[in-house]
Amino acid sequence: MIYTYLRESAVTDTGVDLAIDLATSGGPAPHPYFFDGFVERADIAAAALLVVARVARTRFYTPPGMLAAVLRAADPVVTSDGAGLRFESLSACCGVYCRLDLLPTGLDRPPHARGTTNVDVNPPMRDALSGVAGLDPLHLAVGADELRVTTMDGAVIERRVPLPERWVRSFAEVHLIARSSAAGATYTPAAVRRFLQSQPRGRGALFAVPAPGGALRLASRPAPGGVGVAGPERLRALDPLLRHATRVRTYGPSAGDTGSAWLLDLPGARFTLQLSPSPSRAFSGEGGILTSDEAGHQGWDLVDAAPFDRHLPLDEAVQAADQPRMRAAEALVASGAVTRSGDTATVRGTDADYTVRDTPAGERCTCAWFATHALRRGPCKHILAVRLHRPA
Amino acid sequence: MATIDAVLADLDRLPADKRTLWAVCGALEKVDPGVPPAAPVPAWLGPLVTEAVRWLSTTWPQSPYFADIRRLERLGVVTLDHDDTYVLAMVSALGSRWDAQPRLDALRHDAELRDEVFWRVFEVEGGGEVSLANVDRHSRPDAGWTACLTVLVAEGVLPRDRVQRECLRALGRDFSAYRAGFFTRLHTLLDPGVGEVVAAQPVLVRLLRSPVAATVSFALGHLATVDAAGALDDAAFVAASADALAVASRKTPLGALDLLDRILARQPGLAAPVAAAVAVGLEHRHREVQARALALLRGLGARDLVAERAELLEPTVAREAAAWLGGTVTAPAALLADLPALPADLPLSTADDDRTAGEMAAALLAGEHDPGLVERFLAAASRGSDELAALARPARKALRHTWELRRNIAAVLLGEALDRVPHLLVARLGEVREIVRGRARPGELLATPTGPAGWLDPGVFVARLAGWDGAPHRHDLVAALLRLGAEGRPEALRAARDLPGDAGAAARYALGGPPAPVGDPAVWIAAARGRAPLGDDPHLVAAGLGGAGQGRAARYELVMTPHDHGYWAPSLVVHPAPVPAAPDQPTVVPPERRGPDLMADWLPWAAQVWPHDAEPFFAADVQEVVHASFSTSRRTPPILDALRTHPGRLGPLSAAVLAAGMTTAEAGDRARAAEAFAALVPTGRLDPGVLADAMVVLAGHATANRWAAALRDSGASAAVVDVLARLLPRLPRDHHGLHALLATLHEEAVRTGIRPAGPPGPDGRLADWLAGFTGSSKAARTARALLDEA
Repeated sequence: MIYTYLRESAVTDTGVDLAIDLATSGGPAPHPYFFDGFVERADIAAAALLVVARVARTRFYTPPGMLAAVLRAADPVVTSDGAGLRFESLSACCGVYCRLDLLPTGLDRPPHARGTTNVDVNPPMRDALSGVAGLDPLHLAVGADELRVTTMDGAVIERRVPLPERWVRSFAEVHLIARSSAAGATYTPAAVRRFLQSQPRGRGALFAVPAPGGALRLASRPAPGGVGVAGPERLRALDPLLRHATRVRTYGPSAGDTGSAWLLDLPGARFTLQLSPSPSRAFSGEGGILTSDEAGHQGWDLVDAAPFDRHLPLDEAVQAADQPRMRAAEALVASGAVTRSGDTATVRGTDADYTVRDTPAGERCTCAWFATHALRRGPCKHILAVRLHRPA
Repeated sequence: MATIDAVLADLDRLPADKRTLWAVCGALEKVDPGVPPAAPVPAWLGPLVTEAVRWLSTTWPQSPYFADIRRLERLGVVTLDHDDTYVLAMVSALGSRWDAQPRLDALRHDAELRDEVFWRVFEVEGGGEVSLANVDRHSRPDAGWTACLTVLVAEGVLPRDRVQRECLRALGRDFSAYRAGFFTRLHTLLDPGVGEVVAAQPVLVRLLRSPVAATVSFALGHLATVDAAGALDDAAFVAASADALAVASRKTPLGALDLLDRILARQPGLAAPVAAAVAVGLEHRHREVQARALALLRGLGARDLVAERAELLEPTVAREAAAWLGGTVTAPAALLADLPALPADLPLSTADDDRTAGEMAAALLAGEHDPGLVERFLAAASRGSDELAALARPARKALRHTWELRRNIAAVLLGEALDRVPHLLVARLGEVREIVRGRARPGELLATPTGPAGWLDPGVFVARLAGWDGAPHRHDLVAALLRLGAEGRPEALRAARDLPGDAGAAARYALGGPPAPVGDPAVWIAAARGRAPLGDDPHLVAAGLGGAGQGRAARYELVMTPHDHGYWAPSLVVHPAPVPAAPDQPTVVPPERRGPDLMADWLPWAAQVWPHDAEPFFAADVQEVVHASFSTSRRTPPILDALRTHPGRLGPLSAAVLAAGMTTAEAGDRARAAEAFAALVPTGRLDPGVLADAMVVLAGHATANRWAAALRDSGASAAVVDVLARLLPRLPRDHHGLHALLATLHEEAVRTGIRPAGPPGPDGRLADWLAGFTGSSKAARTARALLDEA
């Protein structure tokens, strides 16, 4: 998948203010024109945009045997719902998702239109954003206006940026995980900052749980109000924003797994950082879309407990069939590998026969995937194959 | 000398597999660079060089290969975009890891490179192997980029002011802390004068907002210089200073508070924004920062700002604030109530109970290692199951996980050899393997637990044993005898009166029955340890089985011996009569064990071998936790988890594991230790005096700051005061890091209102020890403050 930009993002110092002009690629409409106005708290928006871009450039987990390489970051996605703007990105390892919501109160005027595109936060842009402070005005123009497109016809700049398939699947998974999350404890930003300053690190399942005095601490097991923070060092991405936050809300999966979402309330904005259940687990592999009818065209707002539209700049929506596991299951069915017998089925795999059994708690399989993850990351390919094989 | 066209023509005749960058560069080495090619350049040459540039941009070759790229460019053979990839290739390969000369020569003599490309190294961050910081880190000190640039600045090849300016601009580009460090180091080496620093003031103020703590510290240091020169833009600094007060270290916020104090003295009109900034200091985790901020805010009369943050203050600062505010500032209470009682509510297992034998085996082959699941799988496999045969191929895959539990489960399924670990659990797996292979009688295993933490109901045990026709499996019997619970023994003894053979006699003896002639020593040792776990057994001693952990109760002692370079070597001393280890005698732990240890995934199961007493388990593994203070240890988390979950006696070795756990390198391990402290010490499961004894032994090895943090994180304030009051008088007053422990005692004593006295000991009382401090060190000042509390 290729994004095409008409030109590069640019920052213009007019002498009075800094104009941030974010180049966009195509969305549902070619080169939409979303927003052209001022951000109320420029310093906070700038700091948050930098975090969004930083997460996109960061690999929080490097698989064994893979040398850390120069990151070719994918670009944050921006969505306008007609009232506010949302900037989203995923880390290079797809294990951390973040989103900046510029709320209607944080913009001096509503966006002109709804839609989704992606923005190019390049080094000069980051340089300029890091210089925004205090009461500096910040003019934000999301989308190239048509007149400019027309006049720049002869000077079109194309920048080819591969849109990782994992990003698209991850967005869909993040939505489903957020949707099933329940609210955990709420903390003061100072408490969270102290927690991060203690440099919490560690392997395996760890939890951030409430401690006396409104504080939080690292724990090896869950507690009421606590949420999972496997790879707690990933939370340090929040650090630059905590000073601006008024409170920090946590959310965790209502059952089963150990990821979490950390939501910062900021003046005129909200910032969400969502962690996968383990640093080595990318959102893209969580498998939620395998059992969901919802496509990847929506995000989930934890505060409003409601979906928001996000039409990714893709020709097609994310389909469960795009999931590698579903493709493998279809191949098993097509090869006649499934044999049913009452409540059990045998699936002939590449290296063994696996037994899939119906139980009151759901299907069970004797494969390694199911033994490791059960149904927490969606069914294994053998269970999917049995479901596909089942007569309608 | 050949013409370039002739050389290119020769190159074009090379077979495809010989067309490498090195072949091209070798051939063009002696071509006159002043004459561009007249004939067309072979089409494959451009992509070849472009790919080489791409490779260099991500891989550090440690050699100056970029010179070849430049030669091709200057010959006019290739035309390359001078984009980010090109800049990174230059960062990567302009110089050598060992030799400064190639990089110096290139920048001295290649004016185009120097003027058009070089300055972009301050803009392109890089990553992985290729960045200025990484190349410098792994190069000889005088051969890196920093050394090269300082030489070129000194020679005047590079303008000093521009290099300084670009360093500061680079620090504002949101680079990672690691890569930003290059620019602070280079800027510092250029040793800017006061005038240069004053000129850079706007950029330095901006850098106070950097997310990199080292950059903030760097900027603050220079701004202090600006202030000393009388040129600080007070309003701009005050507006940006709150970010500096949020830096984790203590030094930077204290420096910022000093500057704010000076600004306040000369600019009373800035009192309101100064107060708002200083209030951020109250949120800092360090007491010193809080105290300094409180002092400033008191001077400003900013009562509301203090009251709003009262809950965040350390107890001693909170008390001071309360005295000023005229109210009571309540210190956070202990979190003991958050922790569930142990061990009564231990679940039987985290595993589902309705799994088939095949599903249990699949889970174990995938790496699950819940002890209850292992036991249920063994029980199912011993009864025989057709499902297991279908798992042959996954089992063969699991064989590659050498030494892990899953590899040995696979060996059971496949009839393969087990790992040669001398341990009862491996021996038990061996018995089940023989059943699965049809070489031993199937039947109900005796040792399958009936309760949490490995306990076995005596009545169930007797019924199972009665069901065996002939002698049961030997290691299964040993395991069962060690697990016998205390409840229901008289009834079980009555039911066991007719059990035949040596096994029956040993079972009756374990249940409190009369002595009988000792048959199988391992079975009778297990029976004796099950009968009176913590006492000596005259019957076994008389039978010649008087070793520690056999007929006599073992006592273990951890000894730490100082070595060179601050290393303390742990060793185990066993009383009263150490004997060699044997896999069928798990209650015996010799001072020095031979053979490999159990891997991490075995340990939860191993901790349940003898539920009566945790000491042998921890004696066998205490050294692992000790070493986890400076090395990664996958075995440490399950060992620390066993502290909380083990239902038996916790003695000196359990205390030693806890003390060592609180000084481990991993924060997650220390969190486990803190939880164990909160669960065990306040409830009396672990005696605070025994823990203090263990901490004295480990004091030389331990990092006092880690101990202090773990104790505070436990939230068990009263127990912390108790343990520290016992520990501190036994430490030398110049003990490294002592202040952290003293400060913890002070804060927790104020939080709880407990007067820290400590019992009289061989080294005197706490008060006497505190009174012995002299001088003005932080420890001495805190000791005097503690005395004042008394």
